[in-house]
Amino acid sequence: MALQIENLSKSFGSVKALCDLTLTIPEASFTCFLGPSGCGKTTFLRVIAGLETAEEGTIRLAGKDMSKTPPSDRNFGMVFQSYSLFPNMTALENVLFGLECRHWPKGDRKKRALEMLDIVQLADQAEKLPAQMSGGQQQRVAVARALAPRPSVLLLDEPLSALDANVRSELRTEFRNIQKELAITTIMVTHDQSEALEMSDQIVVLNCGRIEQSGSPVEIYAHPRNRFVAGFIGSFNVLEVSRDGSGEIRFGSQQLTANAQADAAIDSGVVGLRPEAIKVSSEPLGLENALFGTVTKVRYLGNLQILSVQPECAPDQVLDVELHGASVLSRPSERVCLNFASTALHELSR
Amino acid sequence: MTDQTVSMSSRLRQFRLSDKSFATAVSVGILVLMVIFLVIPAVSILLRSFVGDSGWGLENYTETLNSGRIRELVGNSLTVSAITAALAVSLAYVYAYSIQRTNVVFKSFLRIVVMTPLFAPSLVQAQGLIFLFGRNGAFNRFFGFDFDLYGFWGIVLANTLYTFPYAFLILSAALAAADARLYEGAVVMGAKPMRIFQAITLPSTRYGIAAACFVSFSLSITDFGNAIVIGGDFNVLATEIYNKVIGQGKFGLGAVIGVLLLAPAVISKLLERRIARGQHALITDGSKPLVIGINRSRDLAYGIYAYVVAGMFLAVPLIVLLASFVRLWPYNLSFTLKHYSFDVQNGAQPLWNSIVVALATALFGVVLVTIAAIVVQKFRTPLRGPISFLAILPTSIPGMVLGLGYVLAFNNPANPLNMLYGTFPLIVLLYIYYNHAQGFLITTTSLKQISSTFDEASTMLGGSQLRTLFKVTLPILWPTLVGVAVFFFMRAMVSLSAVIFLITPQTQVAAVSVLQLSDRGANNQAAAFSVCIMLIVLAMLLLARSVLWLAGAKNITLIR
Repeated sequence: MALQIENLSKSFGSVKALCDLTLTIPEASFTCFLGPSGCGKTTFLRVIAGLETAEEGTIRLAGKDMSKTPPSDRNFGMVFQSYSLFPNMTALENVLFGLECRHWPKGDRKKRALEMLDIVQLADQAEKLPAQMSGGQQQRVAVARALAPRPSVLLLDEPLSALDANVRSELRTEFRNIQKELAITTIMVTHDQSEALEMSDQIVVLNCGRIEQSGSPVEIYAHPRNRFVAGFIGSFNVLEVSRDGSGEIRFGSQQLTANAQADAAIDSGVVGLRPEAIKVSSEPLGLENALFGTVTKVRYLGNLQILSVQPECAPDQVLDVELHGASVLSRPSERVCLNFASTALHELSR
Repeated sequence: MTDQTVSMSSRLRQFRLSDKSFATAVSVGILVLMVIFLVIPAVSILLRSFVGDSGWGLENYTETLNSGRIRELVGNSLTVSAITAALAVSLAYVYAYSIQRTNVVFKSFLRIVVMTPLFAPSLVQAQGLIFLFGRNGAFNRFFGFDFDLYGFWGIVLANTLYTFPYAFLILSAALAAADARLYEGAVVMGAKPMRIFQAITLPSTRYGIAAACFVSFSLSITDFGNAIVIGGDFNVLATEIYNKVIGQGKFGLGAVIGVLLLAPAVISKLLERRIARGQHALITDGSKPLVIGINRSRDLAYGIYAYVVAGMFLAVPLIVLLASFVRLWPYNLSFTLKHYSFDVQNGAQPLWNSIVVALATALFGVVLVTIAAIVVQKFRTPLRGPISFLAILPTSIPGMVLGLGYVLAFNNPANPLNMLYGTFPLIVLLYIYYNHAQGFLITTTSLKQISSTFDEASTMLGGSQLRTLFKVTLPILWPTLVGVAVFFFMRAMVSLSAVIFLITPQTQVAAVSVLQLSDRGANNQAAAFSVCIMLIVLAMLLLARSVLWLAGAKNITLIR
């Protein structure tokens, strides 16, 4: 079921944790709340869960106001970062717990619980205690437990953060598949941009209790609305630019060409340029923009080299450039040409 | 939404409503009990101190404070307690250092041996010392010395033994928390052992030292058993209350001294808590545990020290055990079991009474402190503030003072609970509320360690507070509760000062019997009684340890 959040605000004492948030979470979608720590994403999720109460605003589930409904009556499933399986109960008992609380008919409970454990591929671990399972297994049981009573919404609070890198990537795919299969409206909190990009239908970027931007992963990555989003998702070179007398964009002493849409919007003095959008060569390659500069630093990351280049037209600035799969290591003080298309320049509001 | 889900959610709402009223009812209940059995007795003693022969006023205070005797008593109490604290803490520091920082052998043996004073009423220390060093003690008699132990030094020695385990537990914890990186750094910079001790070890344990001093001081100044048995003509505040109340029936004057005794106890307790708070920041995330290097001469020196001290702690219960099996210490050393026939007073009845009282204290004590801890930690009622304050209040009230408060409050026909006076239930309640603070703190600490996300997970799954409590919280908490029960049991078996005013011939308990027997000179029978108390406590510890061991809960502290 779809969730509509309108004008939600919450403070802790004098600290504004959430400021006037309005958002729609489409039915059966996977939405990520993404942001740095302290941005309010977990608080936002907990308000939706009902574990925290907002001072203002409404939360509607399929049109029905849930704001005053206590958390135990919302029938939302929740998975916590720390797994939070009841340590005194087996995997099966953990999954049964919610079914008992929700007064499922006695005969159906065990069948449903085993079915859920089967979905998370742990049917053979049903009699194990949480302490006897790995972190990844525990988190799978937690998902089965949350989903068993057929919740209308599934809330995931950084469910993968406590896991090892390889388990994490495995569970990303698995959780996303389960979510699609059950077509359950899901919200996940994360601070990991690659997790958000990989898993979501919709990403909501939060900062200081405000929504900076929401949209599909492609929209967020390709068209970050402002400097914060641009900097938080992937990396961005921020170029300080100005307009000269004839209205052209100037980067230091050189003129830049942006496409019409970006050109119209650039008035704030900065443009964004993704490091991977820059092509490095010794001579201009014939793209709309080409600047010469000097390599000041080389970071070697195996599949990737990141060069810091000081452009000759604007020596007080530094541009990062990513070289994928280059076999020859660049050297500091090397003179290079940076080429990029007009479409690579993005307007950024400060 | 279907009709079925609507009716289900309304049923849930109803259930939670009753959940909320349940929380309120329980909170009110626990608060009322605290007021009746803690606040009213404490207030009674304060009020009574203002009631003199000629009505309300400061008469008792002026009479007490103007006498030269009170200055002497205050001086005596402070001196005895200060010297006890200094002795106990220095001895315990080196002892804890031997165990934590050197490779002495049989560390667990050394740890257990110094805990023995906790298994017996405090006065057993005095009793044992008298058997060893008294006028007719083993040393004077068999080695031709001429010690006279009674008096100042007797009390100091007995209290040093009695408060040593408390100091040791604190210091041992402080010395256990060491960050190897600091020591490695110092060694790399070329510091010598003494310099390292001054620069790292001592500063990092100074909170522990201060806390141990305060604990030892307040235990010593409020202890009654040792002072009355070994003090001779040397009087302290604690024995003076007893003399005033039991000897002369002057409750008002006793109450004044109780108030006087309350002051240093409260002050040192407050300081101790403040200092204890400073200790937490010492160990940080990246700390590395200390690995003790090999150093034979150091280990030998500390080993000799530790085993001499351990020998002292073993000597006391052993001599008491020995004395309980001989006809008449030290004149007739032939073996006999007659002291265990308990053909005096109420026979063995006080022992059985003590067991029943201790079991009841353990059972109801656990229930009451657990409810109090849950109310404070889990229930969001406005009463949690006052309850958490009252729950730890008893930690600053000396046992004698609270006991006298019970007499004043309940031996009063105007009190509707007057019928409790002179019964075992009142003694049980006194033990529970006297030891409430520690029991509450242990339970609360454990509850806090149970992640609050369990509650949230349960809530999100539709679980009520009660269901979470019985299905999740208590099943996780129970090993701690066994520990708390053992704690209550031990305290109820060995506490003397709290009940000394409250017992009647019908409600005699074992610790008081030891006092009365030794008061009467029946030292061998007193020893037999002490041995029985120690054995019962030991049996309980073993039982609890095996239950916990069988259940796989091996990290529960039983001796506190």
